[in-house]
Amino acid sequence: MTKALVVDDDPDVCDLVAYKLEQSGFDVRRAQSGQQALDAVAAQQPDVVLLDIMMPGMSGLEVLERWRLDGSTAKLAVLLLTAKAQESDVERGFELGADDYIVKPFSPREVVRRVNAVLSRVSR
Amino acid sequence: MSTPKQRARSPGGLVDEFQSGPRATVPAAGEQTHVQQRQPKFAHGLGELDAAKAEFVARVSHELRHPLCNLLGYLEILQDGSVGAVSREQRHMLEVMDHNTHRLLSLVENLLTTEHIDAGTYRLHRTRVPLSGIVDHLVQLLAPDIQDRALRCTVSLQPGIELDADPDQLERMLANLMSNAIKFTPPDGHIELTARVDAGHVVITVRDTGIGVPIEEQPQLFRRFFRSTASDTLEIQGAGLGLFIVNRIVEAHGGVIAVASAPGEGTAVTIRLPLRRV
Repeated sequence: MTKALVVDDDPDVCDLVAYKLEQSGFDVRRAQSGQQALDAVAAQQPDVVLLDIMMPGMSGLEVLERWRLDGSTAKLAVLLLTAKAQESDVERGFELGADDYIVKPFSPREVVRRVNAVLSRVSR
Repeated sequence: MSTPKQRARSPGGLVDEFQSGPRATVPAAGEQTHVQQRQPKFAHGLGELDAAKAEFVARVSHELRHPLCNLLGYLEILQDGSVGAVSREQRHMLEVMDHNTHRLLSLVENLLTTEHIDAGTYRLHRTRVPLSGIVDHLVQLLAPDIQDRALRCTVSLQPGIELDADPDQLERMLANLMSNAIKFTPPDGHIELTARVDAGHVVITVRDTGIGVPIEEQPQLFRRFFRSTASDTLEIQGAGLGLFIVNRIVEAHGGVIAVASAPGEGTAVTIRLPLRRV
């Protein structure tokens, strides 16, 4: 089963994405802060992470940067979740090696499609 | 961050009219020096106000989009029937909720765009955009509205049109134009979207067979909060922000916009945008 980690400080958004991914056959874990995301990745080694950019404390971009600097997570598949107002953050996210980004509000069906697209790209 | 000085230079009389800050009153002769001394501090204060406003817009946009994201997400899941069979009545109710949540989202997007224009933080994020992708997405999104009002919709695009543009803003521009055409066209009417290339520009026209705009109201169409007499008489909903924003988006892309309309016959809005950034 493909392991996914959903990171968003809004618990409802986190649950929504997790629910849809579970429905689509993923084994899903949730994290609601940057620190929780770092811990979860270290403990569970997910195949793909959906990472909110704007979180209090450690932002999604800081989390992504740490993963990219660490050999064991440098290639981890990461899709950023972002509100439209944060386009400059998206550019920074791509510089840091994000695999894709999804703008809120999103269609859950589209999220699954994009996650699968990233995974098939990574496994090739 | 924009300062009052930069804003005064921004193109387009319409926008400047609304961006002008508090107007200075003419000082009495004795006050002159006092006013001159105070001016730099006043200007500095406005800069801070802009920064605070931009910060506020960023936060509010986050706070508004999250609840809408949750609503739309679960509505989609409920409607696809994957969490249980949906009865005909339930389906109708879910469709109404979905439609209205999208309406709210569109209003939020228009208000936030207006706020960005005011705060001087309106920016384009240009990429190379295939026009057909945006139009396809939009038509799919508007199909239920078009069907509800029993309208015929024709789309005719010259194949392969690509332009340097902000894809979100381009979609917002077309969404506002199409949504006007839908709102102001009575049942069994026809709306049409066409696009072709002409001398390094794309010419996009949204035409409808709707109620039209009287000639004396046409110059006001791009003013913020302007609502035509007919939209009040016929109780057509709207905040009067759609065309104000369309005009700003066209301007920011270095394009021009024109309206041709006759009451009872319909309206055609034509937009001309450069294919390459100028």
